[in-house]
This record gives sequence, C-alpha cells and structure tokens, in this order.
Amino acid sequence: MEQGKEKPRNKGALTRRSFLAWSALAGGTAALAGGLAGCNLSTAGPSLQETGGKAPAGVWKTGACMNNCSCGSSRCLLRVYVEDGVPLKVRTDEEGTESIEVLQRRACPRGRAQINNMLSPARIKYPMKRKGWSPGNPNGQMRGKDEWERISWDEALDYIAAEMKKVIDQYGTKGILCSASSAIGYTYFDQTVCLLDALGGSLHNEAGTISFGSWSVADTHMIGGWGMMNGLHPLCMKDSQLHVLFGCNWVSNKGGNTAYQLSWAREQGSKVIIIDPWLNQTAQALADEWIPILPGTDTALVIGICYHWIENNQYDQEYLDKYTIGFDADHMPEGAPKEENWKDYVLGTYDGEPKTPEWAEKRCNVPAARIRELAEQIAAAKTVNFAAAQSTSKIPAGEQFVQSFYTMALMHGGIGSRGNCMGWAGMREVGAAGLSIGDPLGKATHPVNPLNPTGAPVYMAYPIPQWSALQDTSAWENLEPSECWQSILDGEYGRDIWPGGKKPLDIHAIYFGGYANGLNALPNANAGIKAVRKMDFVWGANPFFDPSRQYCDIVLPVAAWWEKADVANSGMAEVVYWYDQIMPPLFEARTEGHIAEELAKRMGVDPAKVNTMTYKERGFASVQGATFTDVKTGEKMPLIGLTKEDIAEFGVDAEPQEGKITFSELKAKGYYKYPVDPKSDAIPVPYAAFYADPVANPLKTASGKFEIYCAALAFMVNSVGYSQISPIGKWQIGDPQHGHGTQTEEYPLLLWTPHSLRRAHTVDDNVISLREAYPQECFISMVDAQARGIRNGDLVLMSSPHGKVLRPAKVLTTLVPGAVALQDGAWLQIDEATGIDIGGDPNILQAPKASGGGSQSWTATLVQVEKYTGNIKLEPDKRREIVLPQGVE
Amino acid sequence: MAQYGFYFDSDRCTGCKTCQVACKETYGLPADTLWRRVLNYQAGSWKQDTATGIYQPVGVFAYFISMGCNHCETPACFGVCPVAAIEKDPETGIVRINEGLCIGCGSCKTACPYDAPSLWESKGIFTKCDMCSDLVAEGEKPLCVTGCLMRALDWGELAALKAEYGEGSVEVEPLPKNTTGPSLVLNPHRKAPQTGAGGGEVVNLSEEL
Repeated sequence: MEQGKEKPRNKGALTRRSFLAWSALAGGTAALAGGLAGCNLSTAGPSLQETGGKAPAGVWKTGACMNNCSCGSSRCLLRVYVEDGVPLKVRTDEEGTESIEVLQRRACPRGRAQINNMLSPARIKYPMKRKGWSPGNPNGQMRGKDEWERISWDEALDYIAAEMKKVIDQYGTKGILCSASSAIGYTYFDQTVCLLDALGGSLHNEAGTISFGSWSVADTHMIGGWGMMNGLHPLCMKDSQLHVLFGCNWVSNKGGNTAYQLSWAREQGSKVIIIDPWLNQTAQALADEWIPILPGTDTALVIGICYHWIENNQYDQEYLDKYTIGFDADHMPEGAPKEENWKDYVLGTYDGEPKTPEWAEKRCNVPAARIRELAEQIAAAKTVNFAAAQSTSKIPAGEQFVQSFYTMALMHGGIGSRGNCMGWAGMREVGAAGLSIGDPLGKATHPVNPLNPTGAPVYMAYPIPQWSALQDTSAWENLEPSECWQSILDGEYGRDIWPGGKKPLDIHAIYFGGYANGLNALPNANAGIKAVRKMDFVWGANPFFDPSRQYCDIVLPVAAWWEKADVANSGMAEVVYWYDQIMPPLFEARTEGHIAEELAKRMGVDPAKVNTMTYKERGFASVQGATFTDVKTGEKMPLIGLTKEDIAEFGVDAEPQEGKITFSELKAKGYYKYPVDPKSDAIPVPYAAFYADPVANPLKTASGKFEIYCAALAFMVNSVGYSQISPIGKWQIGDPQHGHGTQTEEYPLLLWTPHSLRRAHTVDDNVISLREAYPQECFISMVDAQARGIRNGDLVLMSSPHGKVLRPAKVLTTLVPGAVALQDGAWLQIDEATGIDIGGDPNILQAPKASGGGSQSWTATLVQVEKYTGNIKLEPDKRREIVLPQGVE
Repeated sequence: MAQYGFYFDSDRCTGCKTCQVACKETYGLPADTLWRRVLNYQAGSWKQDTATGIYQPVGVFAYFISMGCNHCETPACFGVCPVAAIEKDPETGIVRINEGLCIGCGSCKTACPYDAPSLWESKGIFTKCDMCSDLVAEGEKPLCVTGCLMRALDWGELAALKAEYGEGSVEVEPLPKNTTGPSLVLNPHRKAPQTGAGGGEVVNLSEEL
C-alpha cells in the first residue's frame, strides 16, 4: 500500500468534525449525545466532495494492539490513518509479497475494530463520584446501581487520598485489596500499585496463575522450566507427522498467524487431531479428525491411551530409561515407593483397577474402541507434536492432567528430536529469531511489596506460597483469585494446613486498576459484588467504564494506549513494533503515572519513588535496550540505531548507537521483522541438548531428567493444600462438586469457557461490530437442547449454585452432549430485580474452587440450562445499550 | 471488458470474521448492515450407544463460508430495481447500487440469491460491497482479501483466478443453485455437500447475519 496517497472516503466511527468537537470539549457533550453516547457509530467520514476534492493532510501511524489476546503467541500490526489527531481507519500489515518464513502480521477482528474501542461510549470521560457516596457514609449497597456526578481531578484525588489514609490508619495497608496486576509487564503497568507498595503493601489477588492453569508448578518441577516456551517453531510444524491437540482453538486463543501456520504444516503433510468438547473453529477448518470429549476429563483419555500402549508394547522403553524417572519399578527415584510407578498404576497392579480404555471410556465419554484407535495412530507416527491448551488443566488437582499428558508424550518418545514436542503452546517462535525490546518498566527501581518480598517464590511470575522456601511465612500475603471474594466475606483465607493455619483477612477498601477487570474476570462474581458492597471505599482507574469500575465510589479516566504509547513493543522473537501516540488523551483522561504521582504527593510519599521514570524515558528505554541476536553466531547487538537528534527528541541524556534499523525507519514503518533463515533445518529443537546428552545437559529438575514420578511437585502442591495429588499423573475427581462424575439432577451439565474473538479476555466487549460478529451465546449440544425444548436462538437461563445468566442458545451439532460453553470475558450486567446477569459473564456461574499449586477450576463447572420463561426482554448484544454512568452527561 | 471476482477457500476458513469486521469498521457500517458476512454451516447428529449410554457423532462436520456481493454476470438485483439504481460497470464487472437513486424498497435483497444487499436503516437505502472500488482503482486488493488471517480470500480477474485456483464450485450447501453467474471461485470445504444434498443448517443466530 502506498501510504500518503490516501484518498478520502468513508472512514468509520466518527466524522472528523464531531470528533474535534468532542475531544476539545467545546460543546463536547452535545457531540457525544448525538454521536457516541447513543452508540450510533454509523457516521461516515468526509467524502471527496466534502473536502472539495483536496487530499487531506492525514498521516499513517502505528497503533498499539497491546491486549493480552494470545499469551504472546501473536502480535499484529495496526496501521492507523490519522487526520488532525483523529483516527479514521485501521489497516494492517499489507506490505510486499509474503513468504511463510516472513509473514505479514495481519490483525484479527479485534485489532481492526480498535477505533471503535478507543472511541467507545464506554470511555470514562472525567473523574466521577457516586452520588450516594460520601466520606462518612459509603452507602455501599448502592454500588453498581447508583447515579454518578462529575467532579474535578483535585476533588477526586483528595477524596481517594483521604479514604486510603483512613483505611490505612485503622487497618494498615493490608486493609486494601489491590485488584491490579503487579507482575505481568508493561501492558498492565499501573504506578498506583507502586504507590500502595511504597505505603507498606496491600493485598493482591494474584496467588495463582489465572492464565497458565496448573502448568506452572507442574512444568517447574516435572520438566524443569516453562513449557510454554518450548513449542515447535512455526516452520518446524511440518516436521511432525501428527499434531495431537487438546482444545487449541488457535484462531481465537492465539490469533494472528497461528492457525494459518498450522494450516501450512497440514498442507506439507502433517495430520491434525483435535480433542475438544467442541468441533471448534480451528478444528472445523484444520482437523483431520475430531475426538469429542467431556470437559475436564482429558486425564482419563490419556491414561487409557497409555494402557493400550503398555498392553501392546507400543511405547519407547529405551527413551523412558534414558530420559525419565518414574515410569516403572526399575526406574524410581531413591526413596520413592517402588509400587508408585506409572506403569503399575496404569496396569492396576496394586490397586486392582487396570486403567483400560474401557475404564477410561466411563470417565471421558470417548468410546474404548476410539481410544485404542487413537493410541494406535499416535504410536504409528514417528514424529508427534502433543499440545494441550491451558483450560485442560484448569480443573481441581489439574496438575494430575499435566503429569499424565507429559507422561504420554514421553512414552511416545523422541522429545528433543526434530518433529517431537510436548507442551501447552503447541507452537512458539523458538530459536529462529532473536529480537527483544528494552525494559520500559524499570522494575528494579520499584518499591517492593513487603507482603511479597523480593526473593519470595514465584512460579512463572505469579507468587504461590511455597512455604518451605519462605523465610517468614506469616509475613507473606496474597489471595488466590478464585476464592478472593469469598475469602473477603469470610474474613480469612488459605487452608488449615498452612503454617499458622488460615490467615485472617480484613479488607475495607478495594482498588480496581491496572487494566484488570477483577470483578468481572474472577470466579464467583456475585460474591465479588457482595464483597464490594461491604467495603468502606472502592475506587477505580481505567479507560473504560467496565463492570469493575461500575461498582466503584470514585472512578478516574485513564489514557488508553493509543493516547500514550510512543514505545517499542514485542512479545515475540520475530518482530518488534514501534507504537505511536495516535491521539491526545480523550476528555480528561490522564496517565497512570500522573495519577500515582498526584496521590503520592497527597499521601506524603515522594512521587519519584512511585513513578520512577517519565513516559519519555520509558519509551527511550524500550528503544535503546532493544536487541538483535544473530541466531547463528549468538552475537547480540543493539537493534535500533539512535542519532543525537533522536535522543534529543526523547529529552534524555545518552550516547548515539548503531543498530540493524534506524529509529526513524522503525518509526516510519512501524515494525522490524527478523529475516528468518528459510532453511528450517537450522532451527533448534526444544530439549535438543538434553536429548543429545542428558548427562552433560541435565534438565533443571531434581533428578535432571523428565520426572514422570515427581516428588517435588506433589510436595509443593500438597503443601499449598488446595488439592492433594500423587507424584504421578493419576485420575481423580478433585472436588466432590465439580466435573464429570459429580453431576446432579439439579446441575447435570459441564460448563467450560473457551475464548471468543469478540474480546481479549474482557477487553473490547464494548465494541458493536465485534458484538455483532460474536454474540455471547450459550453453546449447547443438539441432544441437550432437544431434551429441553430449546431451539437455536431461544433465550436460555444458565444457572449454577453461584448465579444465573441469561443468553441466547446456540444449538450445535458440533458440541458433545453433556457439555455447555459460555465464552469468557463478557461484561456482566445484573438485572437488579431478578439478580440475573444479562451480560453473560461466565464468572457469575463459576465456583470459588482453588486448585493445585494455585490454579482455578474454570473447566467442567456444574450448571443447568433451561428455556427461559421469565419477563426479561434481551436485545441482541449489538443493540443492547452499553452501560453508561447514569446522572452525568 | 474485464470481470473482477473473488476467490474463497472454504476448506481453510476458520470463521474469524476479520473480513466482515475490517469491512464494517473501514466503511463505518452501523449495526445490522453487513457487506460481507460469514456463514457457519453445520450438519450431523448424535447416536447414543445403548450399552454404555455414550453419545457419538454421526456425520458431524461444519464449515464457514465468507460471502459478500458476487458481482454476478447476470445480477438478479439488476432487473428488479424499480428505479434502475443498480449498475454493472462495463470495465470491471463491479455491480453497484447508486445510493442517490435507491429508494430502499428492498427488491434487490429479495431477488439476490446470496443475500448481498443490506439495509442501511438510518439512510433508508440498501447498500452492499462494491469490491472496494476505490482501492481497486489504485491497484490494491479489497480489504477483506488483504486482511484475511488464513489467506483464504483472493481477488482478481475472474479468468485469472480460475486459472490459478481451478473452477471450484459455488453449488455447495448452504448456497443456492447457480442462476446468476457469481464472479466467485469457491474452493469448497472437503466435507461440503452439494447444493440441495445437505441435511444441515446455517447455525448463525439471525442477529449475526
């Protein structure tokens, strides 16, 4: 595309005129009422006639697409056409002729719809206070129902500082729950977290890996590192004769090029088997075979496969002997009971229960004959890529699935050799490229939260209470996310077996910040609402008036990424982006850094201690520290060349540097791609060094080998106490009220929550075009629908012991009977008369069931679905009003 | 005289709807107005094993079809418009609705076998895909094509598309019999039944379409 030759045409959300009026606030409220607030996003841009045939002075910039959409599996290019600071349209990477080695980074629908996200009527326009709230009288029952009033920034900041002080004086900083991330990078960075840490440290709800499920603790001890990083490189996907994928709806879960890369491997001859309750979108297009399975029962299938292999001697004993411990009685670690080995467990030697495919069939609803057929297929393939999406492990005692899954892959053998792989990414840029950006966070300069001190154990960035490694177990504090709300209501958290027993909890204020939407995104949301309404004070800061902000007393408008950016970003090894500031902050929005500094001043804290770098300095650090690593020589060099003039533009003091690309080139183009060597044979294989010489290159596990029997893992998980697991990957019903085998007449269906392309978690749920493309539906099988008289599109009530959700049914032939799905992230919207959520947030149904080493039980939750007979009229999502603050313009 | 057309590979489409959303967002289409939509066709049933009680799929499959205006050789919309607002460009074969002439009667939508014309309610007229005429005039391809995550869409002269991708077939479920000569080379999904042969259905909710 020749950029700059752009001709005016219909461009999207707003007219330039109405936008200017809006953003300048010159009669902005009127423009809003007519344009944005009514969700009428139809107004076209200027036509050629309107501009008198003159080419407008627009420019193309690169817009941030910084949503957590894919766990770093994709990052896409957004080119944004901007006139007078007004974003008018989005294009993507359309440059040149692409090759499979160097692909265009085409944006998914969420990226394409970013203008209507950034300019959404859901944007918070100015600081607001809930009408019924006053410093002496919180009137908390009105949270989420009350009207709002506009207040000045100074008033808002004064109120917040005064309320924080009040809570801290009476209860200490532990009286505040900080529902904002402290660990997961610049995308979520909020300096108010630093302020709370500087004040003495507030409670977080991060003791558990919402994202990673049970993989983090299991990976650490069983395979010696982060399994997500060890997927096959996209160009090596073709080296696997077979891809065995559990779940893995990559088009939604990873987005970007990932499904295309799988498609390419398939066209080179790879076969794809997808095991999923749903013939998911990726499977509809790319699966050669689909194995329908009940949610949360994958462990049984895996064990059944292993039985068939043992029975027929179809596994690689030599590999197991050399690279693993715990497979059979002859290869147990010292001190472990011999009879606790995998082979004897599967055969039922000691427990009298052979785990045959017939045994497995009863637990996962895959017929025994099909399990045997699948086992034969996998055994016959020389090279296999085993991948399981995180959700497979988000069950009570989910580590047991991870253990059995890895064990299956190890029995097949070959892990470490070309085409053989096991993990939860399935595919990952490994080794073929080496780009990274500098650190815009400056984490080392941040104040430390004494409740989670430096050096306290973390598993893949998340703090999890590893008691044996903590110096002072009483000082460590962090809430497991799924039990967070119930714990606040109960006034205690943890387990009796913790050192000192359960920990007392006395929360009086909540901060909803850091782009986290905690009220919406954590299980048991109704308990969340109850807990929020009991608080003395609740405040929030965010670009969007999402559910977490709707239940606050005071909200602050935060500048969205398009309004600050000017930073390099990556997240993957093959491309680095430069994100421009697209427009000035809308309305009265300000940055998190500014907010934290202003609050710090009012709290008597040095602002420089909570916001340790200016945004210019952060942008500069991201550029200056970006590196290019030559994967052949290992030589590292600066990626981005900087001139004196560039440095002056950042207003910092530094020396010019040479790079692979100049800063001005990067800025103009928006990205730099690594020139990947098309000879994919050169791309290293995960675990290759260990495979070549396991003695010289041991894994970072206790034994140096893959631990099929992993004592450290079981010890760790069992000491946390949410679950009790075996050192080998046994089948268990991990909770008496969760998963297959525990259904009741009242709650006979198993819920799980796949990702939707409508959102990235909860972000983007306010965008009309995405709501239209992906209505939030109750996926139900034709069998269960027929039994209930439900037809496609009928309104259905989904219920669990924890709440009720109203949604249209999508009646699928492509869903296994007994399972239902509600996709994650929809914004809750409670009908106050009935208590029913008409927004469709699955967390209304989800249970507070902490699992394993710090995971949550999102998969296979017990629910019921019935045809709705009540009086609520539900508009299609695309026409349902977005919740706006009532009482203000 | 050329005839431009689309290529679509249904065997590869994951139904991500980037085509639909990129189009909508770029041209500022309101809710309910779609110039490209993605159909999800599903088929099959489930049989319960009497011994085990387990349900197993019988002939279950599903696939996606991305569909805009097909700029037909003999457009069904063309003759039914009472105000002659529909024109077929002799140079490119692009079929357009002249928005200035359209009276919003909907005859074109009723006539179109592919449901391409879409009401723009606030304007009171029917509108549809014009193959990104402006971009095409500048030598670019339509937005749905350049945005497709699966590289399942292409665009060009119909003859050239056929030479590159083969004839394909537009007569697969849930599409109708070919009566208008759509300028579309469609590579059907490997499981797609021919038009009229399927026992399946479009599963999209009406609000999606």
